[in-house]
Amino acid sequence: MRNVWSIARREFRSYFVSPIAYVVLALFLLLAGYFFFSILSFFNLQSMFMLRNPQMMQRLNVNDLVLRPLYVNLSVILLFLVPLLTMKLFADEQRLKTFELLLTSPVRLWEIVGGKYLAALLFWFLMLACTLLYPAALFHYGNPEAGPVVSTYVGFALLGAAYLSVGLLFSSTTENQIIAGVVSFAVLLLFWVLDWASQVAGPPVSTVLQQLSLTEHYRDFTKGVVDTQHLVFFFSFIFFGLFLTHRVLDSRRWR
Amino acid sequence: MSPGTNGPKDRNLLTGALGPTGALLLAVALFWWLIQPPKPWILGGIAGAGLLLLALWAWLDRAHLREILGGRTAKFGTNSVVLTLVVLGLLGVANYGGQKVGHRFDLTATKLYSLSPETLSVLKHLQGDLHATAFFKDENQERERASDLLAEYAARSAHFQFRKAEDLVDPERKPELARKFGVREDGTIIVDSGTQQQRVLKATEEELTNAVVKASRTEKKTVCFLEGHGEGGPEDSGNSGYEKAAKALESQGYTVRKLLLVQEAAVPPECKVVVAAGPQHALLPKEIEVLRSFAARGGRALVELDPPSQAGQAETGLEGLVREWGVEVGRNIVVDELSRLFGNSPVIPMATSYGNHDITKDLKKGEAVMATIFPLARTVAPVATLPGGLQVEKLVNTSAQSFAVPSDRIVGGKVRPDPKHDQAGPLSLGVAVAAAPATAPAAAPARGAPEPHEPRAVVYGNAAFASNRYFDLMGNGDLFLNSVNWLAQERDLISIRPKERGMSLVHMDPAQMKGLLSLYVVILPGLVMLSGAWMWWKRRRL
Repeated sequence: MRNVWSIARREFRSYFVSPIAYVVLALFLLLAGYFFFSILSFFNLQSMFMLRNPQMMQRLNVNDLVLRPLYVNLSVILLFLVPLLTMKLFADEQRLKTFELLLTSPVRLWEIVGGKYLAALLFWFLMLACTLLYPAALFHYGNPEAGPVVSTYVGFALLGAAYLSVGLLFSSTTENQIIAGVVSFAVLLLFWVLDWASQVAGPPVSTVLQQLSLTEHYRDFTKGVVDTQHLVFFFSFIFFGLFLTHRVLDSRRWR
Repeated sequence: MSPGTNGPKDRNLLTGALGPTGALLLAVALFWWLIQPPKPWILGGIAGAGLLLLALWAWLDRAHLREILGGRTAKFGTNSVVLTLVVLGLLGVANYGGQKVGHRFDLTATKLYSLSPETLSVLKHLQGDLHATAFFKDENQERERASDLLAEYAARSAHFQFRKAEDLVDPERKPELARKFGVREDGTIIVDSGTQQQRVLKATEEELTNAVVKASRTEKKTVCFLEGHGEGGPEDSGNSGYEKAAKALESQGYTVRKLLLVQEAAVPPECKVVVAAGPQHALLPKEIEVLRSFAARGGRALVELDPPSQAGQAETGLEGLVREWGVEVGRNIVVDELSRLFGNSPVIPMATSYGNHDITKDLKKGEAVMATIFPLARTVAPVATLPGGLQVEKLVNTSAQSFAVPSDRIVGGKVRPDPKHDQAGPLSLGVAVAAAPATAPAAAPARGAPEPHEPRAVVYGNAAFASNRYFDLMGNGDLFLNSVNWLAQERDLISIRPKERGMSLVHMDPAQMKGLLSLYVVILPGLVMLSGAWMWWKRRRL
């Protein structure tokens, strides 16, 4: 465990040395802030107009109409940003040939995988922590329900973690950071498309696709529901991503 | 050095790209075929191209491939693949198990996504299989919510089947399915037990659970249509027949039969509801007596009486009977000028407002009201002083521009209202009779216990509204079915208070909005960039 932690720490620190992490974080906050602002100002406008129409006003709920769309939008932004975060994790090492060195050390392969993933995960949690400012503003200016906020964050954290495992996997397959980033993005996009496809396809296929779709499993969290089957799905997904990463790296030994 | 034994870097980039491209094409073809197969030649073309590229790659790179497939790499490779498949399989099983055994935590304040205890109890005791199909147009705002609700039901009972992918249907995209279930309105949910179907027009928990209760009932209730006096017959497919109404009742799980009272000493015990669909001739006093005692011991009656079409026409005798129940059936014809606006003759009044009763509650959807029309109708209203223990509620009212023209004044088929003397609208065309609340049984008896004798009756001043010619028009059919349903109602139908998501607003003035904008969109990202720049500058100095 100690090895995992030390690898994670080193990797996490290196995030702050490279410009990419700052760019990603700043971009994320910029886009998220902008979305938050525009959704909220529209809602604010509606709140004011609807004062004349009590029946319509019943429908206005800040959880439903502000937080939920915000976190759905953010999940799409993540598609683009996560590959940028993960592309360097293994590709860099392989390019610099320090990976072989690492492999010969007494550190075990799964500890390496775990450590790198943990570093990315911690950075993701940092990004998440920054976004807490949005619900904070809502609590200050309004009266949202706390439960759905908690569940949304649980879901969003898991979603990001799942995206990260995909990014990690493809970073391990190549030396070239750009390829790692692009392929990760393509695969994440594929999963996003799966969700759309599951709506369009016919019965047996659509059920399978729905089960595989990350967005589908995320949806309930944004509503305020924490369902253990979704938790199982996300954990399985992350585990499988890390497992495959381990397989890919292990294969270098005999390739 | 033979080309095949070189390392990866020496392989021609083009050759190297052939393999993955071929695989990609195959994957695209597969994907496409699974989702929405295009024309066969397109699919075949892509798949074929993919296969061709793969074959080309295999041929050009054959030496390298031989090396891979033959040696150590192959052995480790296969091991890896097998291990991966095993892990994938285990995860699949774990997920499947997770679905069956899982637990759902609803964190909303009003428990919006959980079902009420009444519904849970109904679902727990559900024995037969029920299949739900929801017909919502894509733009319907209620779509997601209804689908979520149905998914909750499905999650709680293996017998309740609903899968969003197949059973949430846009009626415009699948018109055959909509027609098969007789869906006329957007936002209808059909609960099908195989032998009968229940239609839910409002996607609330109460409506849905009651539909589940009704659809899963195994004992069939019988609706008996009175005959022998020129009533609309359940097997009559002519304009004034009641075949459509009878078929609609059967699809809701009722058994329909004819009743010739003249031959019976009493109404047969299996008749839960007796329908008199517009008798044209008088009933024998004996028949009236049979009906009287039927009602007295708790039998339910739907009485539809057409107005006398000319002066001096005799009564059927049922007018007197319903008067004993507190209902005054006018000897008149209702004339409504409003009908002209809709292209109808004024002797075909339209109902423009409804009472607050279970029978009519789903004819009103928020602001919109579903109209019903009554070709040639008479007034039906509560008597001035009600008999003890009964309450009579108006169900259907015409507009203020209507008049009740006494039948005695009808000469030569012409009906002319006299605004100064004739009773003016709004006029009531139908009422429901029930026990007054004080005398109603205090609590619902346990399920299965015999029902107490609670009197119920519904009287309309027109029979044609539910006849074959008018049954499918607007709300007519629904009004008829709702009336029979209310009359046949058992005690285990429940009422569940709807859970509304609480209103939750924000109050921000322009200054606050601007502050928010600057903080979130400018300051925060700016801070991050600044710290990045500082870090970069610090490192540069090293």
